[in-house]
Amino acid sequence: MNIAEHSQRRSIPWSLDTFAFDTFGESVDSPVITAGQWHWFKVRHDFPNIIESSIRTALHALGTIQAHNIRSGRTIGIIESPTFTGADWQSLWRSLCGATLEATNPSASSIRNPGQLRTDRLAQIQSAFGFPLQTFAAVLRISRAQLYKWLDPEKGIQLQLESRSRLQQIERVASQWLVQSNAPLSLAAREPLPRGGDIIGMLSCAKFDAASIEEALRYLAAKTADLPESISERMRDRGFSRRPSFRSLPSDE
Amino acid sequence: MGKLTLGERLKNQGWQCGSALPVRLYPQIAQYLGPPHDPPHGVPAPGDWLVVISQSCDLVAPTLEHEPYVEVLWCRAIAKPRTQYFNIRSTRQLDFRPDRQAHPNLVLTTHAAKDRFIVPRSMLDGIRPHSNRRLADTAVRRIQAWLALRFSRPAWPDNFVSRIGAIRDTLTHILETVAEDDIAEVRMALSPRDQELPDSEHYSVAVFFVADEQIWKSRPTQREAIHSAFGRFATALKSCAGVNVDDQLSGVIDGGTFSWQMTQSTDIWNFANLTNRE
Repeated sequence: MNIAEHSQRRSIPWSLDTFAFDTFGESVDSPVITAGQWHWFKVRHDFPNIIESSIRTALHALGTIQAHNIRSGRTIGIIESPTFTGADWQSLWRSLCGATLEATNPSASSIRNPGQLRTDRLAQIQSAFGFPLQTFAAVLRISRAQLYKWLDPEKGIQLQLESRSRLQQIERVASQWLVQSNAPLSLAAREPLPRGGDIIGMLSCAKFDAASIEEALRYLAAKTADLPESISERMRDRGFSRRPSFRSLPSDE
Repeated sequence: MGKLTLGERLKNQGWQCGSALPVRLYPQIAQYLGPPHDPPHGVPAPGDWLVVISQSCDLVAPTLEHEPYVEVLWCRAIAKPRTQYFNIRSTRQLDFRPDRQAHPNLVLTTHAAKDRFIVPRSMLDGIRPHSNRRLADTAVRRIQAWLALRFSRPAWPDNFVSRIGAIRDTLTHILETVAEDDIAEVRMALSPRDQELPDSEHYSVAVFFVADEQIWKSRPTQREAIHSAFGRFATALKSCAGVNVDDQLSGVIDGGTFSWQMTQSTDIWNFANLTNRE
């Protein structure tokens, strides 16, 4: 189901609120980000995961736009660029999914710092990949120590153009994967590909071959769907459920 | 039909884990409510709760030879739960709500050592539990987990606890996202695990956020929350002087992959682990 089709199916239970985007080429890691540079919007419609991924992919497909954090519960804004204004975003959004953006004025506390935006992006990529940190660092083509710096929301980091570009490429791959599978890519990461090698090798390569990667993702998504169930999954199927931890008890506060 | 055993009689009278003693029994029971070899603490106030915390199966064991005593917890009402004592944040003192439905505004407090007593099981024979007081299942589970944690928690070295003391609130905040939804368990390997090191030496830690397998395989949004929490947790730990986070080992791991062997090499992270010097 594409976005347009989905937007017509109002019977689906929706539950989302706010969204954010940053324009391609504008670093969300810019050390100076104030409310004035952002356009803040509240969206009235909610999207299941797969639709959210479709929206992200559609935005990527426009070529000049990078979208992230399109999910429930986030307070996000849009960074305006000289060629793309808040009004343009309204119009683009309407054409994509028929939903109306409502301008909002978030409290200062809801405006997250650049480091937080960066770590959110990394967490979102990892939700798609699920790689060990060493592998994730290799894919981003940075050192493990550097990745830990990136993961620290308190650290103000000005990404170099090369790193920023790599991050955006990898972000795009993560979005593509989430459209095809809810499982982490790591489950099939060592699966030999028909043309040789594996996906980690492809993603870690200095030369980024987007078309081949896309083809590999399709192949691996099918493989992932066919993975045999683990023992604990088979146990769950037969009614042997996990005992909830005491930490899940309702708070006594 | 043969004569009923003590256990059967107690069961018929309605005794089970979480039952509360009737107030009229307080004067007789007071003699058992004190430390060994010292005078008892006195008769509990009518507003105090004396709750049975023995497992139900022990409570209804057939004879006194099997189970001569029941364990009772003396709980006193307080105005509101205190930050350091609710949700099992301390292994010594617990503030809790006994039953949100029946007593929505009531908060009790109890001490794991000072308020825990054994009472002859025979004293309950012929008496029904308090008709209006009973711990809800949630409260029973919480008290059982609290008492179990007191004995099962690892005793981390004081010097390690001191080194991460400054980020304690930060870590608490970070873990709320994964703990409240029960989507991941935080486990930590510590080396050395039981030595007090001088300031010149580092403790090495490996941190694992073990994700529920079902979430790992099918819920990207919750995986994102886990990865986000891990990143912040690890970087916060790294900021502590004298603590070295092992980058190569630490990470988010699928619960289906985290092995029994790894369980043996790690401790479950719990803030109660840090309360040994409160």
